[in-house]
Parts: sequence; structure tokens; C-alpha cells
Amino acid sequence: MSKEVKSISFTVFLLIVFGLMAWEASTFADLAKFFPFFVSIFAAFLALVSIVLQSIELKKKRNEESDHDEDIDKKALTKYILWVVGYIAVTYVVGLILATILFLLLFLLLESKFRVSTSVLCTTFVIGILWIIGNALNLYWPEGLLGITIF
Amino acid sequence: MLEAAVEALMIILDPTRLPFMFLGISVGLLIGLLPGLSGTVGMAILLPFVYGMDPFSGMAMLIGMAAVLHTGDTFPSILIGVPGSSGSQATIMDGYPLAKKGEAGRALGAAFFCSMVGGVIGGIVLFISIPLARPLVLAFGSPELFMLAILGLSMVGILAGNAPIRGVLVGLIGLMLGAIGAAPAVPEYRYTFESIYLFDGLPLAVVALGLFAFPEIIELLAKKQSIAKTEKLKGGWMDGIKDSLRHKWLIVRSSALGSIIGFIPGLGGSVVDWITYGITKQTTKDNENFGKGDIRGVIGPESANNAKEGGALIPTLLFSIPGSGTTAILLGGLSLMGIQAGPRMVNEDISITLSIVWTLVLANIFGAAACILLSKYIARLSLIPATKLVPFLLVILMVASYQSSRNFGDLILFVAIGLLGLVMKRLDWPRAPLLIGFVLSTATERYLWISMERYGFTWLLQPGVIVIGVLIIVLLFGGYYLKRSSEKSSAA
Repeated sequence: MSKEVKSISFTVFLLIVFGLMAWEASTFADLAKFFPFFVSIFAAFLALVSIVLQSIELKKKRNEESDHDEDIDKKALTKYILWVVGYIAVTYVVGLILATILFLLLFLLLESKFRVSTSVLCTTFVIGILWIIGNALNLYWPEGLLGITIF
Repeated sequence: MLEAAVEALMIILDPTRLPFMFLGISVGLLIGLLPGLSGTVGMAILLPFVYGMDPFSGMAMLIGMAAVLHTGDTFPSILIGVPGSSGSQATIMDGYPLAKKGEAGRALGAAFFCSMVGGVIGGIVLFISIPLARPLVLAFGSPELFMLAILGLSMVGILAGNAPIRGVLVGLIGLMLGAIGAAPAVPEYRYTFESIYLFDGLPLAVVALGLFAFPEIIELLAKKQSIAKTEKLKGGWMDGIKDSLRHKWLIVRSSALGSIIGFIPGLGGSVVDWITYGITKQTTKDNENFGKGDIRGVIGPESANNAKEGGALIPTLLFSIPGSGTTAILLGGLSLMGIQAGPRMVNEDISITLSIVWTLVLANIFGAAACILLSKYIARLSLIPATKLVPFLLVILMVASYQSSRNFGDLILFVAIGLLGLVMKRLDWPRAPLLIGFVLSTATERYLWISMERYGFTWLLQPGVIVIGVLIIVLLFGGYYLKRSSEKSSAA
């Protein structure tokens, strides 16, 4: 799928979201309604105009060359998004500190290709820095469902 | 007044007080360096220490922190494309592309030099405005504030480059995201879906981090490259300073603009750098490289965000009107030291007021000098391969995101906005307008509502409204004219 088609699909998605937001805004009290209602209606209209303009441009371009995505491996993109989502999911279960230890050790070993000793050293260093900054700046960490607190 | 100023300088330079200013500067630089942490956090850390302190030392510490916050926050903005704080969002636009070209040192040098000059100009503006500020502050009512918000919003089209409709559409997404939470005019929660996390609205820091940082780190990893695409860093901090000197009038103009916008309470400091960036781009003839690594795109906002601090102190000190969370805590600090902000500060506590001006000036000079010395080493971060840098960066981003409201929702929002940002980046949709719309959403709605309730439609005829309206039109059409004439001359 070319970038232009993806862009049109994204604009259609925005049109639907703005439409739903306008519909939701119509249920608000008058003073709460005026801003989100008119902004979302205007946005939906603009999204529609943008879809029409992009479609015309796409039709013109069809015969010419069409832009394709920059050469980024989509599998790699998905893999790294999953790394981040996984880190957050583990944080939700075991808390930030344990999740950070787990994430750093695994990532440094598997992706950064660090040696085991270097990975352990780097993880210890990061946790140490977190402890110092956390105490100095009075920061809080997510504790997680299991309620495990290290510091 | 001059005699009092010299006396205040002597007080500040007292060897027993100077370390407190350096302590404040160190905290300010550290907070700026850590993405997502704001001046409010810095103030909250230092506040307990000022209780019972000599007012000159206490003020030196608090103002020293606030003054350099927007100097330290330049590091993450330029090196990793992540806003260090809300005041350095626009620096990303050209600072990060420069770092990608291997010119991080040049961008940092220019940014720190401009921050220093901007901060000094902000201090001078504060000094000059002490006797003049009252009528100026009172001249800004809700209609004028609404028009200033519109001025900020008019930047979305400018920042969208060749796709103005997309820019406006993205700006509208920002406005709608800003509408989540409590309505300003009536006790009603909008788009919260019964989630307590959404009752207070979305935190700016998380939106900014998700929108800019998430797509960058994912793409860096997927491309398996370092931030700088070159193997060696080009241009040092001296080149940045030379660039700044070449554009000296841009620094002066942006600093003046930063001070003026800064002293208007209620508009929010995060808007200053965007307005300055937009105006810089719009009033420059050959602006086709803006967004791709034009040094003027760093000079403009960096001069303004430090100058803003001087301006923001005018309503805080002279009228007890805090323009931001940082200045609100500063007022608390003054009370803890037994000083009451207000017109009395100009008459009876003039030495304290002038010591604040001096601290602002000196902290900016010391802070910028420290950053320039460090920049040579910190700029090397941009050469580290992504797989070795990003895991540590991600930990910082997670911690920073969670500090916004200390709710797990911050982390979910970080990923959700991050995915939206990634889609926009991949499809070449501009992301900056979303942040402008988001930042200005509440102000736009609130001041429009107050203006309509108080004046009906007659507010449209107020002189201040007309002046700002004309300014918006001149900026939009002037920029268009400049672009056309520059295109014509390059074609010729």
C-alpha cells in the first residue's frame, strides 16, 4: 500500500473519530458543549475536504511514480513496539524497578549483544542511579499488581 | 535605583550567599536535563530548604533554579528529539535534524549562547518594567488573552509547511485532546468515560514525550543507526556561537518577544517558544530549510524561552499573580521567607526585587557557561548506536512519564500517543501543530467563554483585540508574501 493510500485511510479514521467526538459533545451541557462540538464538527469537515483533495492528488499521481514507505523493516518496527509494550505490561504486574531490571538485562543481552557481565553491570548502574535520583527528587515508581517494592 | 542595583549585586556576590545560587543552578540544570520533569518539580524540591532562610540566599537558590531550567532542557531536545521541558518543544524542530546531520555541537553552542543572551535580556526587561508594569499587565483582559491564544494557534498552518490543511487538522486533534477532562465553564467532565485518570485532562509532559520521543526511539531501533547519521561530529560549539552572532537581531527580537509573552499571566509558558518559532519562520525570507535543520530555528525559540522567565516574574512579584506552577510555588517560597509579593516589593523590598533581577542575569551566564563546557562531551551521545542508547533512554522516558500524575495511565497514554505520533511520522504528517493545539486548548475555550459572557460580541471591537488581530493577519499574509517572493527570486 502506498503512503498516499495510508494517508487517506488515516484521514478517514480521523473523520470517524471527530464524528464520534461531535456526537458525544452533543450530549454535554450547553456551556461544556460549545467548544468541543464546533471544533470537532469543523475538524470532521476539514478531514472530509482533505480526503477529497488527497484522492484527487492520488488519481493524478497514479500514472506517475508513487511514494513508497522509507525502507524500514516493518517486522523490526513491530518488534520494538512490542518491546516497549511488553516493558509496560511487566511494569503493570511487578512494578517499575523489577520490570526495569528484567527489561534491561534481556534487551542488552538479546538486542544490544552485550556480554552478560556488561549487561549486569549496566543494569546495576541504572538501578543505582534510579535509587539516587528517586531519593533526591522524591520520585515515585509504579508498584505493580503484585505490590513488590524494592525501594 | 542604580545605587540600589549595585547594592543588590554586592549582596548576591557575597561568598556566603553565592553557593546557594550555584545549588539552584545545579538543580535547574539537572531537572532540565531529565525529560518530562518541569520547573514545578525543581521548585518543590528546593522549597522545604528555604524555610527560615535569609531572603537573599533563598531567592538566589529558587531563581537560580528557574533561570537555567530552559538552558539544561536543550540537551534532550537537540540530542534525542525529546522535549526536556515544555519550554523547549520548538527547539526539536531544527535542533534534532541538526543533530542527525552530526551538527549537535553547533546546535547546542547556538542554543546555550542564545539562552544566555535571552536570559540576560529577560532580566533587563524585568528591571526596566518594575515602574512600568502595572498598566501593561492590566491592559490584558480575557479578549486580548483569547486573541493571543489565536495568535498561537495561527502557527499551526505555518508549521505544516506545504500541507496547511493537514497542519490545521492536526492542530484540531490537539484542541480536542486538550478538551478532555473538566470543562472550564461548567462542572462537567468531557470524554472521560468514567476514568478517574482522565478527569484532570491529559498531562502535557506525557503527550509531548509520546508524540516526539516514542516514534524517534522506535525508528532509531528499527533502522539500527545512531542519532547522528554521520560517523564524526561536525562543527563545535564555537560555530554555534558564531551563527548566533550572525543572527544577533533575531536573538534580540526573540528575547523581547519571549519577555513580552512571558509577562502575560494565564497564557502558559509552553506557548512562547512555538509562537517565536512560527514568527521566526514566517518573517524569514529563505525559510525552506526550517524543520530540516536551520540554525535560526534553534536561535529563535532558545532566546525566547529563557527571556520568558524575566517576563513571567513581573506579574508574580509585582501583583502576586502566578503565571505558572513554578511561579506559584515561588510565591509560596517568598511567604516562607516572610516576604509578601505585590507593589510593596517595589517600594519597601526593592533590594530583594533587584537581587532577583541580578540572580536571573548571573544564573543565566553561569548556567550557559556550564552547559557549553559539557556540550562537547554530551554531544557524543548522538554517535552511540541506537541499540546501545535506547534501552537506557526508554527507562528515563518511563520514569519521566510516570512523574506527570503518578498514575499508571501515564504509561498507557505514553504508548497510545506514541503510536499516533509514529503513524503521523511515517505518513509525513506534521506533529508540532498537535502540541500547539493541545497547549492552547483550555486557554482558548476559557477566554472565549469569559469574553462572550462579559462583553457579548463587543469584545471584538476592543483596541487590543484589533491590534492582535491585525498582527495575526500581517504574519500570515506577510509570511506568504515573503515565501512567494523568495520562490520567485530563486526561480529567476
